[in-house]
Parts: sequence; structure tokens; C-alpha cells
Amino acid sequence: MNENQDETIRSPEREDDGPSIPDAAARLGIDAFSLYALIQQGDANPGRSSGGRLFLPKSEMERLLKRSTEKS
Amino acid sequence: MLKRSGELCRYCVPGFAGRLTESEHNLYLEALSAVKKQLLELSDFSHQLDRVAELCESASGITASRNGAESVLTTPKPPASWKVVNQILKLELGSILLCSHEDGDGKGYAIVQRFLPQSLYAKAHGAIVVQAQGKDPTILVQDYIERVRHTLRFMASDAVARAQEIIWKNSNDRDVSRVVRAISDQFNEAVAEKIETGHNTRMSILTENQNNRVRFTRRM
Repeated sequence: MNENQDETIRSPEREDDGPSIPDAAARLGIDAFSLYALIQQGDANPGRSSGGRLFLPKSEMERLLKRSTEKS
Repeated sequence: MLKRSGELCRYCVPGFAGRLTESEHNLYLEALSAVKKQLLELSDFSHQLDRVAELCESASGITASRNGAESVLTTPKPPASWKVVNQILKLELGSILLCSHEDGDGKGYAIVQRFLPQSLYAKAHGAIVVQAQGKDPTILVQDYIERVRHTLRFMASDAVARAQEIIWKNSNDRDVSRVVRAISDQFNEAVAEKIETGHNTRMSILTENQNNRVRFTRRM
């Protein structure tokens, strides 16, 4: 697989690790497909491990859930 | 039989033309077990998209048959009631639907995603989200299918990267390139668009990033 995915990583994350995208999606209660789509749309910012694996930093998970508090 | 590093190359794996040694095969199985769920999901989604794409091309069209679970959905943004026309993608935790509604300019269509209302994400962003809108349902769905296929390739790419990390971690400085290739080829095949060509065969169309390959397989 050699899709050019770097464009989807909007900003480098300071955190070194976090749950994989499927694990983060499970915590959010959505399918992994939906979280990958959000990343492609620029609505979620993942980090990337040294091996090239994507992960969702804790701060980003909190940001995705914080909107709930702000809206309610 | 071919030998590599003193081991017989006797293991065939799906989607990979070569053969693996026993130690390569063990590594392959270990890595695959970590991404097996994604592989099955991607294959299922890809098949669903193939069926919807065929429906778009059929004489009856995408608006002819409805298999959505609900008849009417209400979205807050934009505020509207939508009639479910057809299901585009059935997800484990939701679905993506083609919907229609009447507005001042006549009939409009939308791709609407439903999340589980009780999920943390839905509580933050709503359980029903409009993904795209348009006047022509066929063009709308075909554009959306392309968008989803891009996401599936993105998912496959990340799954391969996760498998690769496991392979490297357990490689013990051996050449594991064939193991990585076996996993990668399997994911490429899972997300490839497939076209029925008759005579119990189907054609897998792999993208430019997959070396412009076309593969014919016998339909199971």
C-alpha cells in the first residue's frame, strides 16, 4: 500500500503514542471506517508512530469529546 | 521445492503468489491475527460498494429499490426531514443511506450517516449527519462511492502498517519483506473494485498505486 496519506496529518502531535484508530473508534462508539473518514476530512488529527502506524493522541480524543460539553 | 534460509517454501496464503517458509508463515499468522477484523470489514465494505455501483449502472437505478431500515430521518444541520431511498453501506455501528426530500427547487438528495445515538461521538456531534447533497442521485452516490473507496484504501494502508510493526518486532533480524508483501497483497485485494465478467469470474481492478494490475478470479 503506498497511498499518499501524509496530507491527512494536519499537524504533528507532541504525544508519542495513543490507541490505534480502530481502538479509538471503539472508545468513541463509532466504526473504524467513520474515524478514518473524519481523519481524511481533517476533522480528526492523528499521530503517526515511528513504524508508520496511525494513532489518536489522548488530547485529540479529548478534543473530539469536548465538543459535546461545549454544545450541551 | 524451493528452499530459503534452509527452510522449504511450502505455505500458500490467500492473495499472494509466492510461498512462505514455516517461520515466515508463523510470522504472517501472528501479524494477520492483529488486523483480521479490519481485513474482513474492508472486504465486506468493498463488496457492498460493488453492489451499489452495479445498482447505479442498472436500468432501474439507485432510487428504484429501498432497503433502508427507516422511512424518515430528521437532521438538525441542515434542518430537514429525509425519506430513506436506499442503503449505501451497512456498518457495524450505524449505516450510510441515500435519502431524498422536497425543497423549493424540487427534489433533493443526500448521503446521510447514522451513528448509534448512545455513542460518545453521537452525543457530541449528533446521531444523524449529512455527508453530501445533490440533485442527481446517481452522480451523488457514484461520487460518494469513490470517496468511500479512498477511505477503504486509507484503512488498508494503516492496517498494513500495524501488521508491519508486529512483523518487524518479531523478525529477529530476518528478511521479512515477503511476509509484509503477503499481508499487503491481501489488503490490496480486499479493497479492489470488482466487476462481474460472466462465466463465474470477476475482475479485480487494482488502483495505480497497486501497480495497475488487473486480476481475474473465479467467483466463489
